[in-house]
Amino acid sequence: MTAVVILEGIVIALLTALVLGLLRSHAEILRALHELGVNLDGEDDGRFRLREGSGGAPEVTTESAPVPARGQDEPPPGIVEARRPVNHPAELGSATDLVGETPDGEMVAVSVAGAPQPTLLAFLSSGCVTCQDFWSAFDAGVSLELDGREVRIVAVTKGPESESPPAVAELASPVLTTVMSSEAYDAYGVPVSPYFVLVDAHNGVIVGEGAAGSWAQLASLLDRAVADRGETLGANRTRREMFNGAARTRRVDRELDAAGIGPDHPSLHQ
Amino acid sequence: MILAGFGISVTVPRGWDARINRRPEAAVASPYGEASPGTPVPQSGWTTPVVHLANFALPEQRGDYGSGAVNLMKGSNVFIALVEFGPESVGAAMFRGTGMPRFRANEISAQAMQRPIAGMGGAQRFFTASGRPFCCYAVVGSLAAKSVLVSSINEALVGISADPLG
Repeated sequence: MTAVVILEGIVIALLTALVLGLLRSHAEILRALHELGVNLDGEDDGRFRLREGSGGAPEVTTESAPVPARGQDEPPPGIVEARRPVNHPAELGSATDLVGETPDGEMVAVSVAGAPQPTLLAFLSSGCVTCQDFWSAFDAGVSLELDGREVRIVAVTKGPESESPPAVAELASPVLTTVMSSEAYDAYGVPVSPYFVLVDAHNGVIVGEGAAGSWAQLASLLDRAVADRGETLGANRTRREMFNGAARTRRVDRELDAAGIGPDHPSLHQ
Repeated sequence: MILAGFGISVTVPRGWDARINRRPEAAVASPYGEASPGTPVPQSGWTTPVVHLANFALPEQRGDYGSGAVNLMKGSNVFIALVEFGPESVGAAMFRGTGMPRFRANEISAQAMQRPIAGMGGAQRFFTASGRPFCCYAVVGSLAAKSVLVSSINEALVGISADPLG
């Protein structure tokens, strides 16, 4: 009888040690994922972190982009949560210029800091399924206009040591610049592909960054986020740009058209 | 930001784009002769490096002398093409000038444009640097502002250097 009790005690002690070990292992995995920027609790809905302008509210994390209803335009699980480990949008820092190769083997240097126009860096890979929508959109010759300014789109992949140049060449747009540079991935701390970084004109400040599941979703998120920002994009506008509202007028017209509001809409005559 | 390739180094000015390229040579030999006995010439001819430098976003489709890019230029833009020639040009009278050129505003003219575009001007110089023959073709987006724009061209040219070929 005594032997059975002792044996039972040993088994219980072993099971307790096993459970404690599993709990500890689980905690370490969660901590490691958190450090990598992966959040599994699903509470963090923001996809594009935007640095607040000085003219608006104090610098706080902007997660103002509305989240599409599940199943509509939602990125696959695992894409949204992965982020560069920055505690605050104000810490996004400044942009770094790109030096690398094109998929055709041309040596390329692209100015991002100090560029005359805002730049959207699209960090993509040839193998990721979610990236295909962006490669297709770029191949179709999409353009992006934010805050009345044309934004230069630059696709960035890892360098030839990590990506196959012919595979990237097959996907790359014939009209948009594609830079193969692992150094750029490191410099921007890109946690996952696809990942996007928006850089302001002239001052080279990273305005925002994040992930999205499709070009349409990203363009919409950027448009709304920049519109909500308390400061214009590209503070050093030329006098002509400041007084030329044609681009802004075109954007407003497009948005009104999309909302079904034409010149004869009753809401315009109340 | 420094871009280097094919023995050419470019210190890219802030806000500028740069490219260094050398078109691939045809794998097929030309039927019209040999460079020297037993050395077939590729059907494409020998290709040499080309440098493009601009203070605007360079398009992907460009000719060696900037066609495809020059037509996108605005009044404040400048474009530089540095095209290397083959070793047979070394010592030719046209390439007698040495070192990277510096342009003067009065050299910039509409007549020097590869293809005339209203309001724009260009200039071209042939020279030899580190024993390598080059042509430098520079374009300004506005002839009216050429005195200002030519200085930014010259500042950019200061940052270009060529290594002697081995």
